[in-house]
Amino acid sequence: MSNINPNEIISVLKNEIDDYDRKMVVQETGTVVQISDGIANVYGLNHAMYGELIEFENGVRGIVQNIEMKSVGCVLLGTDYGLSEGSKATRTGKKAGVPVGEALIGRVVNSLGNPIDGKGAIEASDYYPIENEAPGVIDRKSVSVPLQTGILAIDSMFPIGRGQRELIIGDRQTGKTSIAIDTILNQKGQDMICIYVAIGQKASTVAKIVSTLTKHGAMDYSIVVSSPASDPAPLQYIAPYAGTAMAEYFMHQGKDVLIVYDDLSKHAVAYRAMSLLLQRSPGREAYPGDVFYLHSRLLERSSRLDEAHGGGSITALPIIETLAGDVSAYIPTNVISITDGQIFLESELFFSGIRPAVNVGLSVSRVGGAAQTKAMKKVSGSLRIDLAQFREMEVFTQFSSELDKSTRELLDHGNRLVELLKQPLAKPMSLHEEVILLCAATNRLLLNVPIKEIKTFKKELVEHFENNYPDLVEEIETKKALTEEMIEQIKKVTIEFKK
Amino acid sequence: MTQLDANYGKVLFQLRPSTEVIGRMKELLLNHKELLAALDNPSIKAKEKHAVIDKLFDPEVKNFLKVLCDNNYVSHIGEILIAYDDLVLESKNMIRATLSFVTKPSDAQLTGIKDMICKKYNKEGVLLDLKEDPSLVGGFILNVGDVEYDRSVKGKLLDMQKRLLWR
Repeated sequence: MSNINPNEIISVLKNEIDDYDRKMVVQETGTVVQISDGIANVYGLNHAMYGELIEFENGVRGIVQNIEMKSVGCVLLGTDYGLSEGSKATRTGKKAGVPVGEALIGRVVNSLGNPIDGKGAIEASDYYPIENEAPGVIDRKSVSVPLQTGILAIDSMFPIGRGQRELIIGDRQTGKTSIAIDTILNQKGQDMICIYVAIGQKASTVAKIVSTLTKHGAMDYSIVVSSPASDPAPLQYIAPYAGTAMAEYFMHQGKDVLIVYDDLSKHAVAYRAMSLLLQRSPGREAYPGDVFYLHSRLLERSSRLDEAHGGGSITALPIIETLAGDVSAYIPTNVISITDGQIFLESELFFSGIRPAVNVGLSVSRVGGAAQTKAMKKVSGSLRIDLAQFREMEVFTQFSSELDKSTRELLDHGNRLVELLKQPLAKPMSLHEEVILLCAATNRLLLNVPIKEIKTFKKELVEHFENNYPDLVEEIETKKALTEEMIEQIKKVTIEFKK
Repeated sequence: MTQLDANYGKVLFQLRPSTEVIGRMKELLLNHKELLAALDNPSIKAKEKHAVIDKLFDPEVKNFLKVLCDNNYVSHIGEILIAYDDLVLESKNMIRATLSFVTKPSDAQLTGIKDMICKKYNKEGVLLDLKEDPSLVGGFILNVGDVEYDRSVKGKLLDMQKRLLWR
């Protein structure tokens, strides 16, 4: 930037002014009659459409949200500084939208698609409206390709498919964002574009997430849309729609996109603030009547298109924060019913050291099973049942000290499974790691490994396979299936390794 | 303007008061704040308000104003009159326009502008408000309904500023 010649700038300016020619401009205008808390009531603008962008005198834009007899209600997408009663507002004739395109990848943008990472302007390929119709029944295909999260507990028991919407729900500080971020990290080299939408988060948290993504090289295929808590409610409200518009561009190009909405409870709160200021009637918990539609129309846009429409997909991982584990509150139940399953995180598990703190009983994935790889399906079949039996027995046997052999074995097996499913942050597992470890565990080959040594044993076993049996590893990764011979081989090698 | 304002405006229009009557009413209500405040004051009895209305206003609009007082809606008289004016203009197939200028246009120019508006909006007449506005620097701005025709130097300068600042 420092070596720009001032004379050049002056000549550019001179040219610009010399060439300037403007005939009469015809535009539709209105007058601000009331302005408060980021809401402007504009008299006139008779032909303004719902959702249209309005430009105010001070350059700030607004979205038409209410249409009344002689006036419209607008939400301002910026400061109301310099606006007062009598200020002019003009129609732009455009629907509110965001720039989309490849140039956005690797960038941090605000809800309007403007860069906020100081890396210069973004050359957009297109302009997509933030509110877009969801693909219809004919355009869609059922979920069939897996999305590897790299988290063993999720990939084995609650598999997520491309085009699915899987809710991550839990109290504060239970690792919801970590699961989403780990999933993004694991998409490296998977031909997947990831969009992280931060709604009402602390700016410092977003900065931390961006640095994590950059550190692991995940920004090369990611976009971060940030609307921090300091943004006015309308900007927070449009953030997830803007993120989805960016995702739709890639989906229409036939690409697979993963989008994380972090989090939708804050989004609902922002929408509630906006609605109440627009004087819409409050309903339950003071949310407006259309708060269900707010999220359903957003999440319906995640889909898997069939080949005729490019075969792209948008996989959504919405996040909801509950209070004191109450999943039956208004917004959590809404979003649970919209999504295709949920991963329920519990603070009790989290603090007892089980991380990711996934509650196996309450979590479910409704469509992901069809997308699970054959290899994974084969080795994870009994996992959920084993864990459920273990939980039941664990409570039951807390009081008695004498146990018969089969019960003891069940408990030992369960304890080892729990230990196996623990996974540190930012350490996603590849498919072969997951398959080998699960194969060893479900065949009860870990029973005589002391619990404290499971962690190191896991690591060494995988390394042993990678170093000495690269063919087997390669076959799992490419064919994504497991034959009986392969299972026998894994068993044999594991038994040998234990010695 | 709410639907209720429009309804009152329509009722006033259907009473068909003469222009002078409406003019007198406007003058009394809009230029005498105390009168409006008194009529709007809920602590003053309806009987007393009616007596004041009987004394001051023409018979055509008396009952209308009494109803307004009884319904505590006098404070909306401004909006009601706007709705009424719109209906009057519409009944005459006319349109309202505002012309802001720096140097006053000649009569020939004004008739030209009026003809243009009549043709474009398919109306028989134009109620043209003239407004002198030196801040425009040069040229004029014509407002017809919601549409603004900007041919002023100020508009050009603002537009140029916008272009130069863009990226």
